[in-house]
Amino acid sequence: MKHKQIVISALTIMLVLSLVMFMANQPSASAFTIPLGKRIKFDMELSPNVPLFHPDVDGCFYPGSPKITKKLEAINVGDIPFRICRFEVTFHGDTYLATGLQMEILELGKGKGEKPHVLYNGTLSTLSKGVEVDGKSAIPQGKSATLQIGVWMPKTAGNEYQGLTMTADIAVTVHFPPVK
Amino acid sequence: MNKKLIFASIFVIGMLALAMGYGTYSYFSSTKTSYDNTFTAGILSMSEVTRSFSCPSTWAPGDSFTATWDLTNTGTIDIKYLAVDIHNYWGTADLADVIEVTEFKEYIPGYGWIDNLGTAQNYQGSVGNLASPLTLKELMQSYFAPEPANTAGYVQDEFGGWVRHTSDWITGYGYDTVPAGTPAMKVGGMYELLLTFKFMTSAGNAYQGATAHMDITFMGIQDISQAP
Repeated sequence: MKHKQIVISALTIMLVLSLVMFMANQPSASAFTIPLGKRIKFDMELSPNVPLFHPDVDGCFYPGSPKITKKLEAINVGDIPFRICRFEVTFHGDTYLATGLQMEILELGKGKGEKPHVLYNGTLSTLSKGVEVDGKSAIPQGKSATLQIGVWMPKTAGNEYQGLTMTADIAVTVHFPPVK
Repeated sequence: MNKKLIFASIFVIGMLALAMGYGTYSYFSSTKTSYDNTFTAGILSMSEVTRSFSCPSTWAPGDSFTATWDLTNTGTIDIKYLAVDIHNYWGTADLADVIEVTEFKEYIPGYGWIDNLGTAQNYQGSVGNLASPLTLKELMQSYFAPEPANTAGYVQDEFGGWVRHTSDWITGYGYDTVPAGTPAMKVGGMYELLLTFKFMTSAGNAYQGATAHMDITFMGIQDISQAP
Protein backbone atom coordinates (compact mmCIF):
# COMPACT_ATOMS: atom_id res chain seq x y z
CA MET A 1 0.00 0.00 0.00
CA LYS A 2 2.78 2.35 0.97
CA HIS A 3 4.71 1.51 -2.17
CA LYS A 4 1.64 2.24 -4.25
CA GLN A 5 1.35 5.64 -2.58
CA ILE A 6 4.98 6.40 -3.31
CA VAL A 7 4.66 5.40 -6.95
CA ILE A 8 1.52 7.50 -7.42
CA SER A 9 3.21 10.50 -5.78
CA ALA A 10 6.25 10.11 -7.95
CA LEU A 11 4.22 9.84 -11.14
CA THR A 12 2.21 12.91 -10.22
CA ILE A 13 5.32 14.93 -9.50
CA MET A 14 6.91 13.79 -12.76
CA LEU A 15 3.81 14.75 -14.71
CA VAL A 16 3.66 18.19 -13.13
CA LEU A 17 7.37 18.83 -13.66
CA SER A 18 7.21 17.73 -17.29
CA LEU A 19 4.32 20.07 -17.92
CA VAL A 20 6.19 22.93 -16.25
CA MET A 21 9.31 22.29 -18.34
CA PHE A 22 7.27 22.03 -21.53
CA MET A 23 5.51 25.32 -20.82
CA ALA A 24 8.75 27.02 -19.87
CA ASN A 25 10.35 26.10 -23.17
CA GLN A 26 7.70 27.78 -25.25
CA PRO A 27 8.27 31.33 -26.43
CA SER A 28 5.91 33.86 -24.95
CA ALA A 29 2.58 34.20 -26.67
CA SER A 30 3.47 37.65 -28.02
CA ALA A 31 6.71 36.49 -29.64
CA PHE A 32 5.06 35.24 -32.78
CA THR A 33 1.75 34.16 -34.17
CA ILE A 34 1.15 30.98 -36.02
CA PRO A 35 -1.50 31.54 -38.64
CA LEU A 36 -3.96 28.72 -38.64
CA GLY A 37 -3.26 26.16 -41.33
CA LYS A 38 0.19 27.59 -42.18
CA ARG A 39 3.49 25.90 -41.40
CA ILE A 40 6.30 27.97 -40.01
CA LYS A 41 9.15 28.44 -42.38
CA PHE A 42 12.52 29.15 -40.83
CA ASP A 43 15.13 29.70 -43.52
CA MET A 44 17.99 31.89 -44.61
CA GLU A 45 19.80 32.46 -47.89
CA LEU A 46 23.25 33.84 -48.58
CA SER A 47 23.88 36.37 -51.29
CA PRO A 48 25.81 36.47 -53.50
CA ASN A 49 25.60 32.76 -54.15
CA VAL A 50 29.03 32.67 -55.76
CA PRO A 51 32.54 32.43 -54.27
CA LEU A 52 33.48 35.70 -52.59
CA PHE A 53 37.25 35.39 -52.79
CA HIS A 54 39.34 34.46 -55.79
CA PRO A 55 42.95 35.32 -56.62
CA ASP A 56 42.02 36.30 -60.18
CA VAL A 57 40.04 39.17 -58.69
CA ASP A 58 41.79 39.79 -55.38
CA GLY A 59 45.38 38.99 -56.25
CA CYS A 60 47.68 36.97 -54.04
CA PHE A 61 48.22 37.42 -50.34
CA TYR A 62 51.65 38.35 -49.02
CA PRO A 63 52.93 39.59 -45.66
CA GLY A 64 51.45 43.01 -45.09
CA SER A 65 49.16 42.78 -48.10
CA PRO A 66 46.06 44.99 -47.97
CA LYS A 67 42.94 43.57 -46.38
CA ILE A 68 40.56 42.12 -48.97
CA THR A 69 36.97 42.76 -47.93
CA LYS A 70 33.78 41.27 -49.31
CA LYS A 71 30.15 41.62 -48.36
CA LEU A 72 27.79 38.73 -47.76
CA GLU A 73 24.07 39.13 -47.13
CA ALA A 74 22.24 36.70 -44.88
CA ILE A 75 18.64 37.11 -46.05
CA ASN A 76 15.69 36.05 -43.97
CA VAL A 77 13.47 34.09 -46.37
CA GLY A 78 11.44 32.57 -43.56
CA ASP A 79 8.49 33.73 -41.49
CA ILE A 80 10.19 34.40 -38.18
CA PRO A 81 13.19 36.51 -37.21
CA PHE A 82 16.70 35.17 -36.72
CA ARG A 83 20.07 36.16 -35.38
CA ILE A 84 23.49 35.12 -36.60
CA CYS A 85 24.99 32.67 -34.15
CA ARG A 86 27.84 30.66 -35.67
CA PHE A 87 30.55 30.50 -38.32
CA GLU A 88 32.42 27.44 -39.42
CA VAL A 89 34.90 27.17 -42.25
CA THR A 90 36.00 24.00 -44.04
CA PHE A 91 39.31 24.11 -45.85
CA HIS A 92 40.59 22.19 -48.87
CA GLY A 93 44.00 22.18 -50.52
CA ASP A 94 46.99 23.74 -48.75
CA THR A 95 45.13 24.08 -45.48
CA TYR A 96 48.28 25.28 -43.69
CA LEU A 97 47.70 28.63 -45.36
CA ALA A 98 44.74 29.12 -42.99
CA THR A 99 47.18 29.55 -40.11
CA GLY A 100 48.82 32.48 -41.90
CA LEU A 101 45.69 34.41 -42.75
CA GLN A 102 43.55 36.59 -40.52
CA MET A 103 39.83 37.01 -40.90
CA GLU A 104 37.56 39.70 -39.53
CA ILE A 105 33.79 39.35 -39.79
CA LEU A 106 31.67 42.41 -39.10
CA GLU A 107 27.93 42.75 -39.01
CA LEU A 108 27.30 46.14 -40.51
CA GLY A 109 24.85 48.55 -38.97
CA LYS A 110 21.68 49.53 -40.72
CA GLY A 111 21.86 53.27 -40.22
CA LYS A 112 24.60 55.65 -41.26
CA GLY A 113 25.90 56.31 -37.78
CA GLU A 114 25.59 52.75 -36.56
CA LYS A 115 28.94 51.17 -35.86
CA PRO A 116 29.78 47.75 -37.29
CA HIS A 117 29.64 44.93 -34.79
CA VAL A 118 32.67 42.64 -34.65
CA LEU A 119 31.52 39.04 -34.80
CA TYR A 120 34.95 37.46 -35.25
CA ASN A 121 38.53 38.60 -35.48
CA GLY A 122 41.30 36.01 -35.51
CA THR A 123 43.13 33.46 -37.58
CA LEU A 124 41.23 31.77 -40.34
CA SER A 125 42.29 28.36 -39.06
CA THR A 126 40.42 28.82 -35.76
CA LEU A 127 37.15 28.91 -37.69
CA SER A 128 37.64 25.28 -38.72
CA LYS A 129 36.35 24.26 -35.29
CA GLY A 130 33.36 26.56 -35.56
CA VAL A 131 32.92 29.72 -33.55
CA GLU A 132 29.79 30.78 -31.71
CA VAL A 133 29.02 34.49 -32.14
CA ASP A 134 26.43 36.95 -30.93
CA GLY A 135 24.73 38.54 -33.90
CA LYS A 136 23.96 42.19 -33.35
CA SER A 137 20.46 42.40 -34.72
CA ALA A 138 17.34 40.30 -34.91
CA ILE A 139 16.69 40.09 -38.61
CA PRO A 140 12.96 40.15 -39.39
CA GLN A 141 11.25 38.38 -42.25
CA GLY A 142 12.33 39.70 -45.64
CA LYS A 143 15.30 41.66 -44.28
CA SER A 144 18.98 40.80 -44.29
CA ALA A 145 22.11 41.10 -42.20
CA THR A 146 25.14 42.44 -44.03
CA LEU A 147 28.36 40.71 -43.17
CA GLN A 148 31.66 42.28 -44.13
CA ILE A 149 34.37 39.65 -44.35
CA GLY A 150 37.96 40.85 -44.43
CA VAL A 151 40.99 38.64 -45.02
CA TRP A 152 44.65 39.62 -44.88
CA MET A 153 48.10 38.23 -44.28
CA PRO A 154 49.94 39.86 -41.37
CA LYS A 155 53.39 41.35 -41.82
CA THR A 156 54.84 38.69 -39.57
CA ALA A 157 53.90 35.80 -41.87
CA GLY A 158 56.98 33.95 -43.09
CA ASN A 159 58.17 32.33 -46.30
CA GLU A 160 56.49 29.02 -45.42
CA TYR A 161 53.23 30.32 -46.87
CA GLN A 162 54.63 31.23 -50.28
CA GLY A 163 52.74 29.71 -53.18
CA LEU A 164 50.10 27.93 -51.06
CA THR A 165 46.52 27.79 -52.33
CA MET A 166 43.41 26.64 -50.53
CA THR A 167 39.67 26.91 -50.85
CA ALA A 168 37.36 27.63 -47.96
CA ASP A 169 33.66 26.93 -47.53
CA ILE A 170 32.24 29.50 -45.13
CA ALA A 171 29.16 28.28 -43.28
CA VAL A 172 26.88 30.78 -41.56
CA THR A 173 24.30 29.62 -39.04
CA VAL A 174 21.36 31.64 -37.78
CA HIS A 175 18.94 30.71 -35.03
CA PHE A 176 15.56 31.38 -33.52
CA PRO A 177 14.68 32.73 -31.00
CA PRO A 178 16.45 35.94 -31.97
CA VAL A 179 16.70 37.16 -28.39
CA LYS A 180 20.22 36.97 -26.97
CA MET B 1 11.63 6.38 6.74
CA ASN B 2 8.84 6.51 4.21
CA LYS B 3 9.05 10.29 4.08
CA LYS B 4 12.74 10.03 3.39
CA LEU B 5 12.05 7.64 0.57
CA ILE B 6 9.40 9.94 -0.88
CA PHE B 7 11.73 12.96 -0.77
CA ALA B 8 14.50 10.94 -2.37
CA SER B 9 12.13 9.81 -5.12
CA ILE B 10 10.97 13.37 -5.68
CA PHE B 11 14.55 14.57 -5.96
CA VAL B 12 15.54 11.86 -8.43
CA ILE B 13 12.42 12.36 -10.52
CA GLY B 14 12.90 16.11 -10.46
CA MET B 15 16.46 15.78 -11.75
CA LEU B 16 15.31 13.38 -14.47
CA ALA B 17 12.53 15.72 -15.52
CA LEU B 18 14.99 18.62 -15.65
CA ALA B 19 17.34 16.62 -17.82
CA MET B 20 14.48 15.61 -20.11
CA GLY B 21 13.26 19.15 -20.34
CA TYR B 22 16.73 20.50 -21.10
CA GLY B 23 17.24 17.84 -23.72
CA THR B 24 14.07 18.70 -25.53
CA TYR B 25 14.81 22.46 -25.50
CA SER B 26 16.25 23.55 -28.81
CA TYR B 27 16.59 26.40 -31.27
CA PHE B 28 15.37 26.56 -34.80
CA SER B 29 18.47 26.99 -36.86
CA SER B 30 19.49 27.29 -40.47
CA THR B 31 22.96 26.95 -41.94
CA LYS B 32 24.02 28.06 -45.39
CA THR B 33 27.46 27.93 -46.95
CA SER B 34 29.44 30.17 -49.25
CA TYR B 35 31.47 27.62 -51.21
CA ASP B 36 34.82 27.60 -52.98
CA ASN B 37 36.40 30.78 -51.72
CA THR B 38 39.97 30.59 -52.93
CA PHE B 39 42.96 32.10 -51.15
CA THR B 40 46.42 32.08 -52.66
CA ALA B 41 49.66 33.29 -51.15
CA GLY B 42 51.99 34.90 -53.64
CA ILE B 43 55.47 33.77 -54.51
CA LEU B 44 58.25 36.23 -53.96
CA SER B 45 61.17 35.11 -56.03
CA MET B 46 64.05 36.65 -57.90
CA SER B 47 66.36 35.23 -60.51
CA GLU B 48 70.03 34.81 -59.73
CA VAL B 49 71.94 38.07 -59.98
CA THR B 50 73.69 38.54 -63.29
CA ARG B 51 76.88 40.45 -62.75
CA SER B 52 78.44 42.13 -65.73
CA PHE B 53 81.83 43.71 -65.24
CA SER B 54 85.43 43.02 -64.64
CA CYS B 55 87.97 45.28 -63.08
CA PRO B 56 90.76 46.04 -65.58
CA SER B 57 94.04 44.51 -64.52
CA THR B 58 95.75 47.77 -65.41
CA TRP B 59 93.36 49.90 -63.41
CA ALA B 60 95.21 53.03 -62.34
CA PRO B 61 94.33 56.38 -60.73
CA GLY B 62 92.01 58.33 -63.02
CA ASP B 63 90.62 55.19 -64.73
CA SER B 64 86.94 54.21 -64.57
CA PHE B 65 84.83 51.17 -65.34
CA THR B 66 81.12 50.47 -65.15
CA ALA B 67 79.57 47.50 -63.41
CA THR B 68 75.98 46.27 -63.66
CA TRP B 69 73.89 43.77 -61.75
CA ASP B 70 70.60 42.49 -63.17
CA LEU B 71 67.90 40.54 -61.48
CA THR B 72 64.34 39.64 -62.49
CA ASN B 73 61.20 39.23 -60.45
CA THR B 74 60.25 35.63 -61.23
CA GLY B 75 57.52 35.44 -58.57
CA THR B 76 53.80 36.09 -58.70
CA ILE B 77 53.69 39.31 -56.69
CA ASP B 78 55.37 42.68 -57.01
CA ILE B 79 58.45 43.26 -54.92
CA LYS B 80 57.71 46.53 -53.19
CA TYR B 81 61.14 47.23 -51.82
CA LEU B 82 64.60 46.00 -52.66
CA ALA B 83 66.95 46.14 -49.69
CA VAL B 84 70.55 46.20 -50.89
CA ASP B 85 73.53 45.55 -48.67
CA ILE B 86 77.19 45.69 -49.68
CA HIS B 87 79.04 43.77 -47.03
CA ASN B 88 81.83 41.34 -46.27
CA TYR B 89 84.38 43.93 -47.33
CA TRP B 90 87.98 42.88 -47.15
CA GLY B 91 91.16 43.46 -49.09
CA THR B 92 94.33 45.46 -48.79
CA ALA B 93 95.10 49.11 -48.19
CA ASP B 94 91.41 50.00 -47.71
CA LEU B 95 91.11 50.41 -51.46
CA ALA B 96 87.36 51.20 -51.35
CA ASP B 97 88.23 54.49 -49.66
CA VAL B 98 89.88 55.80 -52.85
CA ILE B 99 87.33 54.47 -55.31
CA GLU B 100 84.82 57.12 -56.27
CA VAL B 101 81.32 56.14 -57.33
CA THR B 102 80.67 58.49 -60.24
CA GLU B 103 77.45 56.83 -61.40
CA PHE B 104 74.85 55.23 -59.18
CA LYS B 105 71.74 54.41 -61.17
CA GLU B 106 68.91 51.93 -60.83
CA TYR B 107 66.51 50.77 -63.49
CA ILE B 108 63.02 50.35 -62.05
CA PRO B 109 60.93 48.15 -64.35
CA GLY B 110 57.82 50.02 -65.40
CA TYR B 111 59.30 53.36 -64.41
CA GLY B 112 62.77 53.83 -65.84
CA TRP B 113 66.14 54.93 -64.60
CA ILE B 114 66.75 56.63 -61.29
CA ASP B 115 69.91 58.68 -61.04
CA ASN B 116 70.76 58.54 -57.37
CA LEU B 117 73.58 61.07 -57.71
CA GLY B 118 71.41 63.50 -59.68
CA THR B 119 70.03 66.71 -58.27
CA ALA B 120 66.68 65.23 -57.27
CA GLN B 121 68.07 62.27 -55.38
CA ASN B 122 71.38 63.76 -54.17
CA TYR B 123 72.29 60.53 -52.45
CA GLN B 124 75.85 61.70 -51.80
CA GLY B 125 74.45 64.58 -49.74
CA SER B 126 72.70 62.21 -47.38
CA VAL B 127 75.36 59.66 -46.51
CA GLY B 128 78.96 59.41 -45.32
CA ASN B 129 80.48 62.89 -45.02
CA LEU B 130 77.34 64.31 -46.66
CA ALA B 131 79.31 65.67 -49.61
CA SER B 132 80.80 64.69 -52.97
CA PRO B 133 82.63 62.66 -53.96
CA LEU B 134 80.79 59.51 -52.91
CA THR B 135 83.33 56.78 -52.29
CA LEU B 136 82.71 53.07 -52.56
CA LYS B 137 83.37 52.81 -48.85
CA GLU B 138 80.72 55.41 -48.10
CA LEU B 139 78.30 53.49 -50.29
CA MET B 140 79.07 50.31 -48.37
CA GLN B 141 78.52 51.94 -45.02
CA SER B 142 75.87 54.30 -46.21
CA TYR B 143 73.46 55.46 -43.66
CA PHE B 144 71.29 58.51 -43.76
CA ALA B 145 72.56 61.18 -41.37
CA PRO B 146 74.22 58.88 -38.83
CA GLU B 147 72.58 58.97 -35.44
CA PRO B 148 74.24 59.19 -32.02
CA ALA B 149 75.13 55.90 -30.37
CA ASN B 150 72.32 53.93 -28.77
CA THR B 151 69.58 55.97 -30.40
CA ALA B 152 66.29 54.20 -29.75
CA GLY B 153 65.18 52.08 -32.68
CA TYR B 154 68.61 52.12 -34.31
CA VAL B 155 71.18 49.34 -34.64
CA GLN B 156 74.90 49.33 -35.16
CA ASP B 157 76.07 48.37 -38.63
CA GLU B 158 79.26 46.54 -39.56
CA PHE B 159 81.21 49.81 -39.66
CA GLY B 160 80.02 51.01 -36.24
CA GLY B 161 77.45 53.55 -37.45
CA TRP B 162 74.05 53.69 -35.81
CA VAL B 163 71.43 53.09 -38.44
CA ARG B 164 67.76 52.34 -38.72
CA HIS B 165 68.52 49.52 -41.18
CA THR B 166 71.77 47.73 -41.89
CA SER B 167 70.77 47.67 -45.55
CA ASP B 168 72.81 50.26 -47.41
CA TRP B 169 69.82 51.45 -49.33
CA ILE B 170 66.24 50.36 -49.85
CA THR B 171 65.01 50.84 -53.37
CA GLY B 172 61.40 51.96 -53.43
CA TYR B 173 61.66 53.64 -50.06
CA GLY B 174 62.39 57.32 -49.79
CA TYR B 175 62.94 57.98 -53.46
CA ASP B 176 61.30 61.24 -54.24
CA THR B 177 61.52 60.87 -58.00
CA VAL B 178 59.47 57.67 -58.11
CA PRO B 179 55.70 57.97 -57.57
CA ALA B 180 54.58 56.53 -54.25
CA GLY B 181 53.37 52.95 -54.53
CA THR B 182 55.58 52.07 -57.50
CA PRO B 183 57.10 48.68 -56.73
CA ALA B 184 60.85 48.29 -56.95
CA MET B 185 60.35 45.22 -59.13
CA LYS B 186 56.98 44.45 -60.62
CA VAL B 187 56.17 40.89 -61.58
CA GLY B 188 58.35 39.80 -64.50
CA GLY B 189 60.30 43.04 -64.42
CA MET B 190 64.08 43.26 -64.58
CA TYR B 191 65.88 45.55 -62.17
CA GLU B 192 69.36 46.79 -62.93
CA LEU B 193 71.93 48.39 -60.69
CA LEU B 194 74.61 50.39 -62.46
CA LEU B 195 77.69 51.68 -60.70
CA THR B 196 80.66 53.38 -62.29
CA PHE B 197 83.85 53.28 -60.28
CA LYS B 198 86.71 55.69 -60.68
CA PHE B 199 90.14 55.17 -59.17
CA MET B 200 90.63 58.53 -57.52
CA THR B 201 93.57 60.52 -58.79
CA SER B 202 94.49 61.39 -55.23
CA ALA B 203 95.36 57.74 -54.54
CA GLY B 204 99.08 57.33 -53.97
CA ASN B 205 101.54 54.49 -54.35
CA ALA B 206 100.19 52.86 -51.19
CA TYR B 207 97.35 51.51 -53.29
CA GLN B 208 99.46 49.83 -55.95
CA GLY B 209 98.43 46.19 -56.27
CA ALA B 210 95.72 46.61 -53.63
CA THR B 211 92.53 44.58 -53.81
CA ALA B 212 89.01 45.05 -52.49
CA HIS B 213 86.44 42.32 -52.12
CA MET B 214 82.79 42.71 -51.23
CA ASP B 215 79.48 40.91 -51.54
CA ILE B 216 76.23 42.52 -52.59
CA THR B 217 72.98 41.10 -51.28
CA PHE B 218 69.64 42.01 -52.85
CA MET B 219 66.63 41.24 -50.71
CA GLY B 220 63.10 41.62 -52.03
CA ILE B 221 60.62 42.56 -49.32
CA GLN B 222 57.01 43.66 -49.05
CA ASP B 223 57.23 45.85 -45.98
CA ILE B 224 59.90 48.17 -44.66
CA SER B 225 59.78 46.46 -41.28
CA GLN B 226 61.21 43.36 -42.97
CA ALA B 227 64.34 45.19 -44.12
CA PRO B 228 67.52 44.20 -42.31
